[in-house]
Amino acid sequence: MKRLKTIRVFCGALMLLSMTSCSDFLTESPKGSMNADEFYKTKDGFEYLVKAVYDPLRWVSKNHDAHFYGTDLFTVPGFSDQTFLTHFNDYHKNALNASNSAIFLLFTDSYSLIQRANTCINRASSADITEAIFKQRTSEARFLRAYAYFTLVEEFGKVPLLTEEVKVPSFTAELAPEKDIYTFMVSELEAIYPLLPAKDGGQEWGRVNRAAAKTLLSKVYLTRAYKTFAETGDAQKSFDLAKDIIDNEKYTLLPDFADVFKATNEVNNEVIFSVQWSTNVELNWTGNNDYSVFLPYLQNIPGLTSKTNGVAQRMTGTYAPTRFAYRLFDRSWDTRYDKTFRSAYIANEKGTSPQFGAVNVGDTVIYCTYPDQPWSAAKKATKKYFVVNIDEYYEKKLYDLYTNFPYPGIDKFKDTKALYDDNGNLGTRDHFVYRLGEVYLIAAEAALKAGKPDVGLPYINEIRKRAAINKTTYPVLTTLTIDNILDERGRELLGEESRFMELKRTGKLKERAITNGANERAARAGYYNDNYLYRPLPYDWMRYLRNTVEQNAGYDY
Amino acid sequence: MSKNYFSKRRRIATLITLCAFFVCSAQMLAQSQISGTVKDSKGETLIGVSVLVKGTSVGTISDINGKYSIKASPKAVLQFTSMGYVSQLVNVDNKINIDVVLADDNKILDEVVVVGYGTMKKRDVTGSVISVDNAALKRTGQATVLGALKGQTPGVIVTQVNGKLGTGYSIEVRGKNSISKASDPLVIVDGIIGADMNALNPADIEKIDVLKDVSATAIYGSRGANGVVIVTTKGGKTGKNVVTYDGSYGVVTPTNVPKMFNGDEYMAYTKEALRNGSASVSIIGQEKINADSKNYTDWLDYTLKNGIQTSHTVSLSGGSEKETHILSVGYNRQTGNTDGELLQRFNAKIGVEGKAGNFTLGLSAYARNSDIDNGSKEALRSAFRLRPIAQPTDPVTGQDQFFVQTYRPDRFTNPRFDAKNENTNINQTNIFGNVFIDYKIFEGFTFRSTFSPYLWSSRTGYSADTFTKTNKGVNKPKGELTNAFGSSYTWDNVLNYTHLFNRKHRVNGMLGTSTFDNKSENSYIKYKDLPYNSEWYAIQDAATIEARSSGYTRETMLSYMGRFNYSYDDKYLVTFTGRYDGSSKLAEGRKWGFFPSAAVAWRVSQEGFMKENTTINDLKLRFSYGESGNNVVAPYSTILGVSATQYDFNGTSAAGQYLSRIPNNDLSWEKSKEFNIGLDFSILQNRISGTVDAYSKDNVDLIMPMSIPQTNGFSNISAVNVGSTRNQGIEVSLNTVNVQTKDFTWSTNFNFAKNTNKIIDIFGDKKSYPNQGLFIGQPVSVIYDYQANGIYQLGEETLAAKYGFVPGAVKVVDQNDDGKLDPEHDKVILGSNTPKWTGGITNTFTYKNFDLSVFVYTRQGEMRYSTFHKELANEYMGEINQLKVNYWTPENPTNDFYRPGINAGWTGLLLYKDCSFVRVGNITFGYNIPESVLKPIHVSNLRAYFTAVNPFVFTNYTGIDPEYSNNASYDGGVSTSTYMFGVSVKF
Repeated sequence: MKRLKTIRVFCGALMLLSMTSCSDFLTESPKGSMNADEFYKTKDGFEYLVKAVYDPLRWVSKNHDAHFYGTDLFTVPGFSDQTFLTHFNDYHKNALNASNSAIFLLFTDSYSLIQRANTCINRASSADITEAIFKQRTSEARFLRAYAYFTLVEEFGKVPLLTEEVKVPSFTAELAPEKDIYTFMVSELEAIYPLLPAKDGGQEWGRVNRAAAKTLLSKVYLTRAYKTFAETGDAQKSFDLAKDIIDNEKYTLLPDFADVFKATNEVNNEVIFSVQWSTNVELNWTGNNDYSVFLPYLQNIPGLTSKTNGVAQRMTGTYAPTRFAYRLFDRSWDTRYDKTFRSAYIANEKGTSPQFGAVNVGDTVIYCTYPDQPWSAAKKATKKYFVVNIDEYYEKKLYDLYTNFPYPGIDKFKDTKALYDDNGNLGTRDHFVYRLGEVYLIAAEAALKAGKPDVGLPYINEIRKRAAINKTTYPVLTTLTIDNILDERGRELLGEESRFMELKRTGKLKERAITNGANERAARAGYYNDNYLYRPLPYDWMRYLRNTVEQNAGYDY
Repeated sequence: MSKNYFSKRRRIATLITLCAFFVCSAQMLAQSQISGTVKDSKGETLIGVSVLVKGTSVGTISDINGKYSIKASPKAVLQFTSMGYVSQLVNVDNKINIDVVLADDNKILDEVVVVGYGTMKKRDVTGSVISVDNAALKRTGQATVLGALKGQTPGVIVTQVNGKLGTGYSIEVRGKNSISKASDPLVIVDGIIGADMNALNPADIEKIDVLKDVSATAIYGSRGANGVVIVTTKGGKTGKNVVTYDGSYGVVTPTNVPKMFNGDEYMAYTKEALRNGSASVSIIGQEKINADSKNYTDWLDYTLKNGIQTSHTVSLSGGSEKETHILSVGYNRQTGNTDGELLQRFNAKIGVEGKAGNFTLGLSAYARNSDIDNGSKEALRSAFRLRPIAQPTDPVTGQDQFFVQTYRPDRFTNPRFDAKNENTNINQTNIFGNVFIDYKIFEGFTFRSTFSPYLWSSRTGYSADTFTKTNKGVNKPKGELTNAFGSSYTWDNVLNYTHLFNRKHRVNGMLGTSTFDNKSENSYIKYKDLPYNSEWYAIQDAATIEARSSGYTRETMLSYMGRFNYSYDDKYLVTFTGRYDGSSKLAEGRKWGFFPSAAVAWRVSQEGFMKENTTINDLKLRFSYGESGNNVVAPYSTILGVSATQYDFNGTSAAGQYLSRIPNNDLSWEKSKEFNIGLDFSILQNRISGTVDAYSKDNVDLIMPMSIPQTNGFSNISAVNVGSTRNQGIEVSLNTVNVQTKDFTWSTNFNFAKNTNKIIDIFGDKKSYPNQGLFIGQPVSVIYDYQANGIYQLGEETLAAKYGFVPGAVKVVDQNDDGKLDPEHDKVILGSNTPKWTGGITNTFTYKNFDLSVFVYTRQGEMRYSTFHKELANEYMGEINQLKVNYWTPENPTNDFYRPGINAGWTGLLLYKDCSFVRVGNITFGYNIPESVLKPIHVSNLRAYFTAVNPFVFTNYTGIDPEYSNNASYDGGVSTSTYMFGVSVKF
């Protein structure tokens, strides 16, 4: 009996031993991670959330493939005698399909941005912020969300229209008709632009302002004006907004086109909205790549090194302007050819060329002749460097064993501060989203679309005048057509605008790129059909859905 | 110095003299013929009993009637030995007829196994437990415990992660329980819960017990959900102090090195690619000269070398009735197969236990410091990739040059430069131990409190000097530094009651609590532009900081457990176990889970009708059912936290804070439910003994990250309870003594396991998700893709064209023959990356003092995506060197590999490889120096041995190693064989 009692006492003691701190022993209290629900309610915490919405803007703006390939202005460099044209640029189904990673990223990055904006907008109402801050910050988020939707709807057509913060993940998706997405974008942008500060409203450079919202709204109206579901007055509203920006938002065209792109002049009077990149590596994510992707891939040519860190030599040769693009520039009056392209590749180290002997720093290594002035073989032979004529740009190997296909690369994004990177990343320069130059061209197009070409003409001529060698004798346009405008956009905004979206809006993709043969590879490949006006919904998204969504026409899955 | 030298010589001389004397004196004595019969305890005559005159080599064996006859001196001692019986010594004492009765040796059955908070005789165990002893581990010649465990036990799969020095192993008991996360078992070292097996010195280990079924692991509750590995190290033993020394020296040589193209083959391949319009290869300058003059370099040969492995362990143990102690220190040094790789490891162990009245106090502690220079991440990959036409030396000066290629020189640099100038150093210290106090309240009733702390720290430094591929010979040195440390403790309090009622009813009850608290911290910095290569020091001199981070995590657990054993007459055994676990990592309100189990066993051989049976020595049937829980998920998974984003506003930081994930407020326990049926047997005088287990384990409410449609703003939820899987399998282990004579024995240890894993449910709707590679009824990790079927041949142009291809391209099976390839109809399950079955066999032969053992193990039916082939047998068309493949040309219409330089289609399908293999794990040849030689030099035991570790592998896999096909050449290592010589001495 006594033993039984002892056992009882010890069992009781054992229980007591472990109960002492039981109540909160299992409660988690993380350090180095803040409880989001609490944090975003605070004034500062909410500001951090707003900043987080800007971050995916970089991801979205780096997805170039869908904006450039297969258009009249850009192609992929490479052999002209290749027997199989299987590239994205060529609209070949092995590349341009639901598994394409660039398209997948464009889609998912856009939704990352949208959901961040949704979270920010949702949480703003419970945050400890003033009414003024509430209006300004939610408007920023709503602009960024609309910006993402504009890209999505133009690239993919029908997409899910999601406007609420995700609390419980959804495994189904419903595709909203394009019309609904346009209605949403219009109502959002109409609502927010009055709430946003003006250009000089005291906010940080790089934040969304009123002019940015007006520009996007103007483009949305203009784009809808072409659609079957266009509403009366879309084009006029687009024009009115563009004119309003030009007249009232205190932006000015810089006198010299080159100054717009000066690396030291990123904050200038013409830039309305730009994606920010930084020289601080800890804030720069993977960095911008505008500086490298439009330059030819030149490797192992004596004199041109890829090894040094001093000047970023990395040129990825991802996009080459088409011959048609080069020929758009008339150097007899227009300064923009020389301000856009790099014609000569200059040695940055000593070397010995098997063809030409010693090469010293500063020597020309490759020279791309002007499109209108090809050199004869005899003239080429007099030079101690490679000379490439327009018929050889981006398709002719420099010499037999090399795989270099030189062409005049786009040089206006030159970035001397970019750190060396194998993949041409780590760029530090801002990426222009909207600048006043484009607003002039939107105004011209909107006026034309509204049936008032005469009202539009002065706007396009203003852009031409700024570009002209002689501001008084340049060829003034007297008739306004869509092609005039697209040509002008090509000259003014090469590598800045989404050429695919411009051609799609104006209904000119097939005619200009394929029928007229501006994109020689795509035209020769012959795969293009109008189904390609819509990108495929990504397979890697659809695979996680538990309902079936309809793939865009013409794609296998 | 010289004094020692002479004394050593003198001792050897003495030894020889003494030997000679003993041999002579034995022969000088008079001999007489002695005979007799050997019987067992039941009166049956015994055949094949070895009879030896002790201290001599004179011996015989008993005949078919159990009779023997031997010559011996009247003062000699006869030794009778037979497997399964206690060996017996008999003094001749002038007798000429000696009959002997040998007692049954129940050692196998009386073997003690560790069952969690206590030990049990093997015959009383009701669950599935398997043991590996020190001898088996030591024979493997492996430097780590897990390496030694490879292939030794059925149902325990140990996989090497890669071939780098000092890299770890993954271990899995009874298949994958979970769809996505690791299924590492709980490791307990001498009662220290959650210890690190890799921190142990294999020489210190006495035995390893693996608890496999839930009823066996149940006392550990959720912590033992993936099985429990219990390591018992050698303890102090009562008796005089014993000093032991174990030492070995070995050469580690690259083996099974993948065959790359040689110079001519490379050139032929490249020309074929060029012939087909490949645009990505250039052969110019010195490389062209080398190609033309056939001046080739074998880069693997240039880079790889033999490593040297040495190890020393010294220990002292002993004790008295009141106190025991052990002390052991070990040192291990290993150089790698490329320059710059070096591993050094120190181990120390201390164990003390003392009694005072009703109290027993004890301490055991382990410390390990390892310092590993992992060398260059890049050197080996460059050695594989460099083209044979590149040249390591400057053609003019003859010196080693950094840039070795003319074409794109920065792409692959001289591996010897990388080996010298790039390094990852990991310095780790682990200290763990336990202190316990055991109080005997009265006979049979004890209280024990055990506190097991664990401290660890690890510093990982990375450095790359200028002349490395990553710095291209121009950038200033850069590096990374990670510091991490952690501490945890488990505090157990256990009451134990044992009583035997009426001689037949044995009752054992156990009640306990357990508290677990685990904290860790880390900090990381990445920097570049150091003025000189100061490695991970002087970071303040770095011009650029690229990234920094630091973090903290803590997880806690509280548990109550109880176990009740009852046995009747050693015949019928019952065990009930229950554990109630609370985990901090699960959602509020879902933290607690209760996990019960029950097991019964019937020792058939104890029944009256079996007692007389001489064929069956032991037979036990076991049956168990148990439930367990699993909470393997990162801490804070149910808390909605924030994480940093990057942006700037015109140079001013605009770093934001966004949601770190989509939270799960319902995260609860993952549960396993397992049935196990087992049979333990021992037959033919224990010459054949074994265990067979069959089990079925259902895992439900699996915790797994789930991919979600990215339109949610995230691509996954880190942890949800969805889905269920089932593991069913059979495990067999068998020990047999095949031949036994006086001087020669041959015994075999065999194990076999087959586990079938299948998914029962994925997202609660019993539907397969082919798009995510998850199928109801199929294993968790299947390879689901199009099926390659050779190469399109000449004459198949029309067929090929239908899918957009030409002869020479990979032929893909159009499963539904509709003329197009779409994932829905044409993708099929090609295989699974879990083996269909595994097995191991050890054959041990002893002849007099010599022994030889050969260990072979295998894994069969395992298909993996081979990263090696992705990197080195792919469409490079001569841009880099690659694996020697039999590629298609019109002149060589093979079905092995596509034609280089053409649009060869679904080439990725050729990267799925069958990784089945049969490997000779080790061959060990040993010699025990006879006692008679050792005694005069005061050595009680001396064994010298030679071991070949991994000498052969038989496989169709052509990459580095079928066991680590996932690891490629970057930051990896080659497969190796080790040839070592060692001694074990006991003083």
